[in-house]
Amino acid sequence: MDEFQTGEETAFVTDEVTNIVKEAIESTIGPNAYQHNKVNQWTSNVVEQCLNQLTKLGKPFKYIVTCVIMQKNGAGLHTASSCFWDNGTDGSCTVRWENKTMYCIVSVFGLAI
Amino acid sequence: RYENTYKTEPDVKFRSAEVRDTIKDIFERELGTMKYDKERCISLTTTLSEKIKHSVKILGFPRYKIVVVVAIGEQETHPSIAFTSRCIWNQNTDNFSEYTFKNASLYAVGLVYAMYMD
Repeated sequence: MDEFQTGEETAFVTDEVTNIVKEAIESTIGPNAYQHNKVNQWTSNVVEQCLNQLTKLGKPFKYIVTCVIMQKNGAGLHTASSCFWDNGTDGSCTVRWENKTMYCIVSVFGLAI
Repeated sequence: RYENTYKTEPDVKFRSAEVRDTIKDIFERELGTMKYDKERCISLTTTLSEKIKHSVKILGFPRYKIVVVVAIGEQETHPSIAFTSRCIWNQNTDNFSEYTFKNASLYAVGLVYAMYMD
C-alpha cells in the first residue's frame, strides 16, 4: 500500500472540537444552578448544539457525542473509553466543566468515513 | 489504514442484543458485589473498557469501528446524574448497545458504539 500524507481536512482537530464543546456548554448551562427536572433537557441541548456545530465543519466524519451532568454532592464518578479505530484519522476529545453546583463532562469521538 | 471498499452494506451487521449480553456478563463477573472504592475504580474503568472492546472484537464484526465507554459511580440516595449521547451516523449500518449494572454501593454504565466503514 502506498504511504501518503493524510491531508489536514481529514484529520480530527482536537482544538477546534474543544472550542465547539466549551461554547455549547457555556451557552446551555453556563449560569444555571443544578435543577433535577431540567437536567435531561440540558444534556440533550448540549449534545445537539455540539452536533450542529460539528456538522457545520463539513468534514467527512461520523460523530459520537456523550454528555454527563452530575450534581456536586460528594459522589464519585469515573469514566473511561476504549476505541478500535484508525489512529491516523480518528480522534476524541473530552471537556470537563464545572460551576458551583454541578459537573459537566462532554466527550466527542470522531470517526473518519 | 483501510482503503474504502465502497461496499455500502456490511456482510455482518452489528448485533446489539448480543453485545448487550456481553457487557452484562463482564460487569456481573468483574463487579458482582464490589463496594465503590475510589482508588480501585480508576483502574477498573480502563480495564473494563478494554475487556468489553476485546470481547466485541471476538464476536466478529468486520469493517466496524468500535467505541466503548464505561462509567462507574457511587450509588447515592438521591439520583443526581444524567447521561446523554447522540450520534451522527448511517442509520442502516451503525448501531449501539448499552447496559447499566447496579449493586448496593455502585453503578456501572457500559456503552458500545459500532460504525461501519465502507
